[in-house]
Amino acid sequence: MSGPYAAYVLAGYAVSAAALGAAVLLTVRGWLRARQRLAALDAERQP
Amino acid sequence: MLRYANPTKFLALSRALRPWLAGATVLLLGAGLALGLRVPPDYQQGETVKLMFLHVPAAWTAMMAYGLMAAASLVGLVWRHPLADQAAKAAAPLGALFTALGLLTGSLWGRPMWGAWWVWDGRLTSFLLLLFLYLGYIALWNAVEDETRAARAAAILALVGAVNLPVIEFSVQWWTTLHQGESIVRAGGPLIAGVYLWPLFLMALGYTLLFVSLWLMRIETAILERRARTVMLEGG
Repeated sequence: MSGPYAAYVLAGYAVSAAALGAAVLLTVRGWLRARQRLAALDAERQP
Repeated sequence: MLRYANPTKFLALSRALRPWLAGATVLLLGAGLALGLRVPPDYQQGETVKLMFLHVPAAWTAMMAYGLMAAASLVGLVWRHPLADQAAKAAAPLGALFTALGLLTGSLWGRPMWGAWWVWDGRLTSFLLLLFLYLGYIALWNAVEDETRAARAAAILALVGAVNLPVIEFSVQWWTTLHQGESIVRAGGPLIAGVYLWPLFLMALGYTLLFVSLWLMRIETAILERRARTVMLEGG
């Protein structure tokens, strides 16, 4: 990519990729933690 | 539809859909980017036309997310179903993120094309209001300790705020705005050339499925956390 406006385009793609990537990571991490916590509590309840 | 208001049935459906949604999202975004980054520069916008493939999908997803949040809020308010409240709550941070991205990518396009990062025109201002509505909704959920009362107050805010959706959509018709008018879904067909329309379509669909995938996962997380709380209470 070249031209006088390339920096604006690259900034747009970089920020979008970082923000959406972070959203995916945080969502998956929250889901994994909730699953692990519930599994641990269930295991504790087993006689 | 109401069948899936049962958390166990919802979890089963969500788990079945998840791999398909994730796969389709990756494919659509990959194809959209592969096509979008190779389009020729527009005769007026130059390379900045490529920002359209980020800006339009983000703005569309932000509005769709608010519509879904308001619909879930209505279901929660009328039928008092906790899963609907959780669905609305789970949509808000994602909606706020897509709104912020819509504003940011629009601003990055506006600076070289309009000579300004920001103008107080009808479309931009009503879209900024959407971000504030999302933030207000999230703040309200966090401010009220009792979950039932928090859900009810947030649902009322979501429904009142839904008035802003047609304002955003028709702002370019109602007022003289710097933001361009309808150029995709309009009588007489799109004004955009096919070479730009295809990546735009793929990216919009990819963003939509990304939102749905993350939304379902966040609702699942809320159900699992609620179950963990119940197990802890039962265990004393």
